[in-house]
Amino acid sequence: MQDQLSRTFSALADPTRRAMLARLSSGEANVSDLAQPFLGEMSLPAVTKHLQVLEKAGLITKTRNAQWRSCKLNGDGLKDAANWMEQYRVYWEESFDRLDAYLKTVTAKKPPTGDENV
Amino acid sequence: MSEFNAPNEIRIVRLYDAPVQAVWDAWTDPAQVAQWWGPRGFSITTHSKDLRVGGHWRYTMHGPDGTDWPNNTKYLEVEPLRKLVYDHGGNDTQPPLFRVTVLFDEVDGQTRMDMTMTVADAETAAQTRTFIKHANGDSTWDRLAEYLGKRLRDEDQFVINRSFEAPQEVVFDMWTQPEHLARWLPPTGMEMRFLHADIRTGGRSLYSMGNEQFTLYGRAHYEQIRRADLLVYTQQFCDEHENISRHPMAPLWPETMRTVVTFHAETPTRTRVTVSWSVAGHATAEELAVFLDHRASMMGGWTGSFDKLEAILAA
Repeated sequence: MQDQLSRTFSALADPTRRAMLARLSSGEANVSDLAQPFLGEMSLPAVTKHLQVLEKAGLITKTRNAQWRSCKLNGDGLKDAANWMEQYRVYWEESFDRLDAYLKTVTAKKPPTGDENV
Repeated sequence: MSEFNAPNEIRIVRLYDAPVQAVWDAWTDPAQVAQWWGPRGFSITTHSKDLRVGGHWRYTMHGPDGTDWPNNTKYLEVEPLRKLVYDHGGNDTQPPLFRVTVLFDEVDGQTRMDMTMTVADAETAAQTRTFIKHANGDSTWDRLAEYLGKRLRDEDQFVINRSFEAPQEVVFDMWTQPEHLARWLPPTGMEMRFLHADIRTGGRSLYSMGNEQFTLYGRAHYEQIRRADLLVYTQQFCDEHENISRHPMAPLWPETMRTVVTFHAETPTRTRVTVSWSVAGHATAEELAVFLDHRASMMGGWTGSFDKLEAILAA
């Protein structure tokens, strides 16, 4: 069983869903508008499924207007996921890990000084 | 091997852009400590603080998951603006977990904090180091830098430090030579390519980053480069013709971000890198809010970070 935080992060791990969130960050949108950019690569039911994942993760809420089903961002869902600094930290920690690994390959290429005991 | 610390020690050195009085106050005033003490996501409640030899600081740390961690510190030496020595983690039923010595030293308006945690032996030190890494304990000292920047200069910034086992000149090259940068900077699965690069003070570069699905372009302006200790650049997303654009995944991400990287030799073969990230120029209130807001990070396009964070959370 997945907890809410894991659901939130697995929802965020998909580029289509992140693109949908990006679209919603500029305002509420109805389902067909949200689906439109993706219809070349996936079916409408597939789009709907992505929206369901986002809704289950607490990242968006669906509202029912007179005629349209529309979606909007749920700020609380994002807030619960982690605070923003934590994301920067993870990004930089990973970059530093890559630099650390790369540095080892760079320094390993240098000729030994000769007085090293193996 | 470097002699930065003894085998049974964990040593942390940081340079803060603040006079020693401000750093000392941040450490010792419970109201200020509450603003930054603990890993990111933690908060604390001080129950009592008696800052004198033999006195105790009793506090509870509240973890992001709601767990409370009681803490007890006993001061052994208190020299205002210069030195603190304390035992941490002891109580009636258990001996202290470790002893900490912190030295403060102001040079040219900046304060060097040199902190050493001493434990029983090398094995305990290795375990403690693993625990600190797992708990993101080092982020405490980054939070102190952010707190001081906000308090003294009203700066909103993100700060992170890491020490690498390599000479300062080598680490500096990693950040300033395009062929090196492209090998480690892009997130896993992404390829970085420089279309042009003139990495010197006043110079500019244009690069692409992407994979089979998409390509992003970015441009950097190098405001200041001082070998081998300082690198200041601003960055913008753009198209392949260098017209400034917004990140497709984060339309409200501030247009220009400034990165300041400083390099300090901790030993001849060990280098500390400090990265500070802030919004540059005129960000709208909304953009600034996005930078400071959780949402920005969620959509910042740091794809690899999310995927890895997910893997960590799933583990």
